[in-house]
Amino acid sequence: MCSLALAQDSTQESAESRGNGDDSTEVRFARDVLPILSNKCFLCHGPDEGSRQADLRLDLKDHAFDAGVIDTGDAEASELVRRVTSDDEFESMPPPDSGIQPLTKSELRTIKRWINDGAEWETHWSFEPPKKSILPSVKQKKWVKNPIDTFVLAQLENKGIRPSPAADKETLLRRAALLITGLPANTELAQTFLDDSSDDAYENLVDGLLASSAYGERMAAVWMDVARYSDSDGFQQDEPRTNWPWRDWVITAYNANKPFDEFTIEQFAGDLLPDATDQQILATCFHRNHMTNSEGGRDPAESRVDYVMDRVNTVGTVWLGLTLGCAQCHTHKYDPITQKEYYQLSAYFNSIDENGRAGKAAKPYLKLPLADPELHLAQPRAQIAKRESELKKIEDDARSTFDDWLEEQVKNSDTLLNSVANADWKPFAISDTRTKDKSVKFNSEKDNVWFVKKGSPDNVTYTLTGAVNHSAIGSVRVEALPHKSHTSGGLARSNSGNFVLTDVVVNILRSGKDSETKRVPVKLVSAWSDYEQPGHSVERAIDPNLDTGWAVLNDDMKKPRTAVFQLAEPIELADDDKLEVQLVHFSHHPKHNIGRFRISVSPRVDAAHETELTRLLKSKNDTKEYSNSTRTRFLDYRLASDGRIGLKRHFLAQANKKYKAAESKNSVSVMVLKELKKQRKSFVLERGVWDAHGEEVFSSTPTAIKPFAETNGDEKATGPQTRMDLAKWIVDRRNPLTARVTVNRYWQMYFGAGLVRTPEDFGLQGEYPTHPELLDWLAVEFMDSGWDVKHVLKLIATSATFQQSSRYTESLLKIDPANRMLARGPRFRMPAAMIRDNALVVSGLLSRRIGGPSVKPYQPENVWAASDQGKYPYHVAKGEDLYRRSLYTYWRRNISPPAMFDAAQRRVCEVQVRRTNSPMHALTLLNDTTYLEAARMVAQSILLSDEELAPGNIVNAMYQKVLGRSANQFEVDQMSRRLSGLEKDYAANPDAAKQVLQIGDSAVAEELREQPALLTAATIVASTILNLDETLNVE
Amino acid sequence: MKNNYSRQKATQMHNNLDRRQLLKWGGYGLGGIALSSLLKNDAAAWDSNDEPSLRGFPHFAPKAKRVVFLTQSGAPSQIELFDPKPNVVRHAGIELPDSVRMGQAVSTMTRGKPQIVMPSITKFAKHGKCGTEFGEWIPHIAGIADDICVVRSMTTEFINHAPAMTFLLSGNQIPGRPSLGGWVQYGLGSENRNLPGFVVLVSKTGNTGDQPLYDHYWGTGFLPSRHQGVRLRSSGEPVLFLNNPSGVSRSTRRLMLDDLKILNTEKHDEYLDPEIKTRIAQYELGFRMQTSVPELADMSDETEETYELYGPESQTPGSYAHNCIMARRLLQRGVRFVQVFLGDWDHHNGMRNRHRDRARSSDQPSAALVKDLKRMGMLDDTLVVWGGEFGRGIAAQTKETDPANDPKVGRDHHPRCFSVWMAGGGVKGGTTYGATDDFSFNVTENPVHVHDLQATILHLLGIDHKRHTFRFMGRDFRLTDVHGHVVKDIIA
Repeated sequence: MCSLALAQDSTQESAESRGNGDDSTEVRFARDVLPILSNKCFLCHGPDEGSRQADLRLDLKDHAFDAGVIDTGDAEASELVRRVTSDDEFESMPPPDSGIQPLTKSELRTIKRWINDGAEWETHWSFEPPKKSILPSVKQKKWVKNPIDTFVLAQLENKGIRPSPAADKETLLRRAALLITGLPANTELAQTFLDDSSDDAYENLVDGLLASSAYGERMAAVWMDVARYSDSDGFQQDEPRTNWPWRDWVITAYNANKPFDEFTIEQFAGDLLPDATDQQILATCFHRNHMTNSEGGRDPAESRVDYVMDRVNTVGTVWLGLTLGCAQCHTHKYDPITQKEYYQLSAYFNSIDENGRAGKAAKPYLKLPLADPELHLAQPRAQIAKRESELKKIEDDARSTFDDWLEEQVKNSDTLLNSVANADWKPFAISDTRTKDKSVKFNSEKDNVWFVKKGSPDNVTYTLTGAVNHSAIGSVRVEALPHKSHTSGGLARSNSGNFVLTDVVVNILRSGKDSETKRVPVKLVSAWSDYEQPGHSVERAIDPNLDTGWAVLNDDMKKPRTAVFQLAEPIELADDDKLEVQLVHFSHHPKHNIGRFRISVSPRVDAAHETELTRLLKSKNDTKEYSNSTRTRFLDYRLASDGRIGLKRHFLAQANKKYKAAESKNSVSVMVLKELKKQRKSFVLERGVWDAHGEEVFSSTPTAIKPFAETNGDEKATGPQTRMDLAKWIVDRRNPLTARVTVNRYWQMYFGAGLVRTPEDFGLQGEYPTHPELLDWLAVEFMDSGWDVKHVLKLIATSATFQQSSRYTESLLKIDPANRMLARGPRFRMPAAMIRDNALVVSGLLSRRIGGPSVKPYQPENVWAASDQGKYPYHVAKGEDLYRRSLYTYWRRNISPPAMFDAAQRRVCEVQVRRTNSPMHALTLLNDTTYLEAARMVAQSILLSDEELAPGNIVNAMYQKVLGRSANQFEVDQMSRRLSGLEKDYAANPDAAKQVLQIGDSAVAEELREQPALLTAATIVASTILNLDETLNVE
Repeated sequence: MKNNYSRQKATQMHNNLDRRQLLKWGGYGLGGIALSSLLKNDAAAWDSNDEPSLRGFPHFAPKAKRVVFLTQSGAPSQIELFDPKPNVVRHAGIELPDSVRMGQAVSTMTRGKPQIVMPSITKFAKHGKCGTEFGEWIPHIAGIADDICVVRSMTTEFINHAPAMTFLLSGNQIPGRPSLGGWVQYGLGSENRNLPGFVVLVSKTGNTGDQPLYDHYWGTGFLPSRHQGVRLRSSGEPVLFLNNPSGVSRSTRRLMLDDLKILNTEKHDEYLDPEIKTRIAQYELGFRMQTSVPELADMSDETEETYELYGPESQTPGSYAHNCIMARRLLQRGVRFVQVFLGDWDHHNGMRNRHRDRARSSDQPSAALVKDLKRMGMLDDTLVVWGGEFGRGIAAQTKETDPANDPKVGRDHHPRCFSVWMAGGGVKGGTTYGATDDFSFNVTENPVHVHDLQATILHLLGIDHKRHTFRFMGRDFRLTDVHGHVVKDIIA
C-alpha cells in the first residue's frame, strides 16, 4: 500500500474513518454522517439546483427534515434508510446506474445510529469558527512538551497506544534541520547541539534553525509550488518572464517573519495600500504567476477570463481549502458555494489592468530597480578584469621583444618589398559560381569582388570558375572582405562575423581532346596571411585535415583579411586554360562562411601582399631615424597583427559588451496587479464559458463561510468591495478557514501529511481532521499570536510528537500504517529539490548566495530542444550557479527540470504532496551529473584529510558527512570491502577511472591526481551512500 | 529472475558476499528470512502493490489488451482525407451560408473575414470490399479500408490546439488531469516487468514552428506519477538518465545495487517502513530497464521486409515511420499504451502541398502498423486509433478573393466535426460511423463527442469509464468527467 501516493492512501483510509464502525464512540453528524451524505447523495440532492432530483436537498437541515425522509429516533421508519437499503431497481439509492457505490454496512450503521440517537444536525466542521477547546486530561503528563502533545496523547491513550520513544540526537538534528531549513544543519549549529546536554539544547537548535536565512528559502520553496511560480508563461509559446524578484520578496518576508495576515494582504492588494512601496506592489505578483497564453489565433479576451478564474481557484485552494473551481460551470455539487458566488469572487480580480496577453506584453508590470545591481555586474566586471590582465600579459611580452622584432623586419625589408613590388597580382575573373546548397546566391560587384547575397548554410563550398590573364600561376590570393549585412559588419554571417576557411582547392581546367575538359590539380605548399587566430593558422586551410582551417577572430571584425597560397613551382597556363578555385567551409562552427571576397593570381611563388608593415617599411628603412610616432605605428602594427593578442582583445570586447548589457538590465519588469480606473462589469458565465454572460454580479464573498456584511459592512454604503476588502476578509479572525488551512499546510511540511489529509479540500468531500481539536487549537493559537508563522512552526517542531522516533513497530504497522494517530515521528522521502540541496551541502558544493535570477544547473542535452525544437536553448551554467539551491533552478513551465521528479507542475496551484517511488527516480539519482559530482566531492574532501585513512575510516567519514552519524560495524564491513574491491578494479582500468573523475565541472584536487583508482572507488561508494533510502528520507 | 535471485548467483559476482559474509549477516540481524524477503521485492514494478485484479480490473471481459494511439497533432483535414462532400462543389467560391455556420466562432486568424467555401482539394474513391471512400492522399490507409472503422462525426469543444489536444487526451481543456494512457495504466498496469506500461514517441517533423507537444499530454495529473507516460527519445539516451555514466560498468552498477539492497534491507528491518522495500524494487527495475530499453531501441533484428512495409523513412530514427515500428515493438513486449505523435498538420496555408506531404508521411507507416499487427496475429487484441484534436473548416484561409487561384491556400481550425479511424481491438472493420452535412461543418448523424471516444476506448479495454475514478480534491474524478457514452455500434 505504501508505495501509493498519499492522495490514494488517504482515500482508502478515509473510508474507514468515515464509516466509524466503532460502536463505542458517539456518532457526530459533521464528522461521521455528513461525509456519507455528501459522498453518496449530494450529486443529485445537494447544493446544485441544476442536477437536483425529486426536489430533495440533504445538505440543508430544514430541507432534509421538511422533506420527511428522516424520522428522528426511528431509523427503520425513515425513508432515507429505506431507500438506501432497498433492492428495488427503481427505488434503490444511490441509483444503480449512477456509478456511485452503494453504502457500506458500516456507513449504513452510522446513519441508523445517528437517526436513532436523535438526528442532531451540525454545520460542516470547517465552516464553524475554530475554538480552543480545554486541553484533555492525560496520564503520561511527563511526555507532554506543549499542548500539541496533550491532544495527540489523549487520542493515543484512548486507543491504548503508547507514543514512540524520542528519536536519538543525530536523527533529530537531521530531521529538524532538513524540515525547518531544507538543508542539513551547518557544522557549528550541529556541534553545539550535539555537545549540549542541557534541557533546552533542542529548543536552542530549533531557534537557531528558524533564525537562519535558509529557513526563508525553505518556506519560499513550498510557496513557489502553491503560487504556481514559473520563469516562463506556459502554453504554446512558453515565453520567458522575469518574476524572480517576487521570489526574493517571499524569501525576505519569511525570514523577517512577516505576520501571515500582512503576508496575505500584500500579495492580494499591496498596490492598494496607502502610499504603496515597490516592495508592496511587488508582492502582488502572487496573483500573476498563472500561465499566460499567446498562441496564435487565441482570443486574448478569453485568456483574460482564464487568468481571473485561475486566481479565484488559487484563492480557494491556498487560503480557503475549498475547491471553488467546481462552481465555475455550475453550483458546487457538494459545498455550499453557488455558481453566482463563484463569479462574485471573480469580480474582485476582474478589473485588473490586463488584456489577456502574454510574453513581454503581459501588463501591468512593475519596473523594479534592482536592489543590488552588483548581483548582475560583479560577474561581468570580474570577467573584464580577467581578460584585461590576460591581454596585458601578452602585450607586455610583445612590447619587450619589440626592438628585436623591428630589427628583424628592417633586415628583411628589401626582400619583402621586392616581392610586393613584383607580385603582379591580377584578378581571377570569375565567370561561374556553384554551390551544392541551392539557397546560396552570389552577386558580382566591381573590381572582381564577389558577395554572397543570400544563403548561409552551416557548411558550404564555393566552386568558382574563371579565367586569369597570366601565362603562369605561382600564388593565389584570397581577400576576405567585410559587409554591413554581415554579423557586426564583419566578414561572415556567423555568430561573430568570423569565418573558418577549412580548405582551398585549386584546379586548372584544360581542354583536352574531343573537347573534354581535364582537371589538373594544383598543389599548394605554403600559405601566408596578414592575420590568424591562434589554433586557426592559415596553413590549416591547406593541411590534409578537412575540418581545420584559417580563421581571424579579433576585436575588429570589420578589417579585411588576406591569405596567400603558394605553389612549389609556377605552372604554365595555356591561353584557354581556366582556373577553378574552391573555398571550402567545413568547420563545426556553423555558418562560418566568407561572405564577400576577391581572388587574385600571381605568376610568382614568392609573391607577397602589401600590408601595413610593407607600407611602413617602404617609407623608412633605418631604425635609427624612426621617430617616436613611427615606432608607435610599428608597435601598433605588431600588436594588431598578432593573433593571440587579437583574440584576447576580442574576448575583452565581448566582456565589455556583456557588462554593458548587464548594466542596462539594472531594472527588471515584474508582472503585478494594478486596478483599472473604470471597473469591468462582471457576470455569471454560463457553463463557465468565457463569453456566455449571464446575470451581472458584484464583488462579494460566499455566505456559507462568513457573510461579508458581518466583517466589512454594507456594500451600498462603502462602494464596491476591492481586493483589499477580500484580503481582509480572508485574514479576518471570523473567517473559519484561513488559519486552519494554513497551519495544516505547516503540519504537512513537518509530518509529511496534514492533520487534514486533503490540504486542498476542507469542504464536505475533504477528509475529516485526524485531530480536530488540535487543528483548531493551532489555528486559534496562530491568530492569537498575531499570525506568527515561526511561533507555530516552533510549537510543532518542539512538540514531543515531532521528536518521536519514526520507527514502525509491528503493531503500529498493522493498526496505523499511515501514522494518522501520530504514535511515531515523521519518516518520508524528501522532495527531489531537497535531495539535491542535501547532496550539494554534504559535498561542500552548495552556493549560499540568496536570491536573484534563476539559474540553469546541469541538465541532459536536448531536453528543451526535444520539446521546443530549439526555440530557447538551455545553456548550462558555469561555476557557482551550478550549485545554487534548487529553489533558484530555472523553471520552464512546459519542460520542468527533468531531475525534479514529483515536483508540483506549477500549472495551477498545488498544495498536495506527490510522493511516488519509480525506477526513473532511481536512474536519476544514480546517473545525474549532479549526484555523481557530489559523490566525488564527498569522496575527495575525505581523502584530502591529512592522515592516511583505512577503508573503514573512509566509509565512516562518508556516513558522518552524508547522514550525520557514524556507520555501524555492518555498514563499515560491507562498504569498506566494496571500497577496496573497486579500488583494485579501477587500478586495473585507469581509463574508466579517468572517465568517472571527469564528471562534473569541479576539479579533481591536485593532491589526489596520483590516486585515481582510490578516488574513483570512493566516488562510487559515496554514490551508493547518497542513494541509500536513509539519505533520501527525512526520518 | 523473479523471486529466485539466488545466493549462488550473488556469490559468483565479483567481490560479493562469500559464505562467511552470509553467516556474518546473522549477527547483524539479517538472516535468511530477511534475505529472501528482500529478494522477493523484485516483483514490484509500475503496478507494484496495487494489483489491478485486486482492485476489480478489468470491469468486464476486454476486447483489446493494448492500445496504440497515432496522434496527429495540429488537425488533419477531414475534408481532404475522410469525409467526401461531392455536393459542395456547387458552392465553391461562395460565402458559407449562415444556416450552416450558425454563429460558429473561428480562430482570430480568420475572424471578421468572409468564409469562402473551398471544396476538397483531393479526389475521393471507394476502396476495399466495404467501399469506404478516402481522399487520394492516403492510398495506404485506403488499402486497409476493410480493417478500419472511420468515425466521421467526431466533435469537440475547443478551437485552439493546446486546449483541444489536452481535452482529447485528458478529458479536460485545462492541463493537470491524468492523460488517457495514464488512466489506462493506472487501471490495468503493465504486462511487462521490465518496461513502463505507457510509452510516448514523438516524431520529428523538421518544422520548428510546429505545435509544441506538452508533457502534460502524457502526464498523470493527480494519479501517482509512476503512471506517467515515459517518453522514448530518438536521439541520445532513449530514457533520460538511463545510461550508467562512462567509467561505471554494468558489473560495477550491479555491485552498487547489491550494496543498496543489503543496506536498505538493514534499514527496513530496523524501521519496518514498507516504502523501503518498494524502493529496493524500483532500483532493481531501473537496473533491468537499462538492458530492456536499449534492447527495445536496437532495431537491428528488424527485417528488410518490415522496413519496406513502413516506407522509405522507416530507417530514420525519430521519423514517424520509425516510431510506428517502435510502437509495434513496444506492443509486442506487452506495453499497455503506446502513443505516437505526428505534428505539423496545422496548415493555415499550404493545404495543397504541405498538408499533402504530411498526409503522405502518416499514410504508409500508419497503414503498415495495422498490417504488421495483423500478420503477427496481434490486431485482434490491439486497438489502433488514428486522429487529431479537431478538424479543418470548409472555408478557405486565403488572401485571394477566389481560393481556387491561391496556391498557398489554407484551412482554419474546425471543432464541430472531424474524423478519426480505429482498427483492431474489437472495432468493426470496413465500416464508417456518423455523418456530417454537405459542408462537413455540422454533425448530422450519430455525433461522437471526445468523451464518447474516450469512453469507448476504455470500454474496449474492459474498463467502465463511469467506475474508473480517482478521489482527488474531494471528488471522484474520471477521464470523461460526468459525460461520455460508449459507442456500441462500432464494436464488433
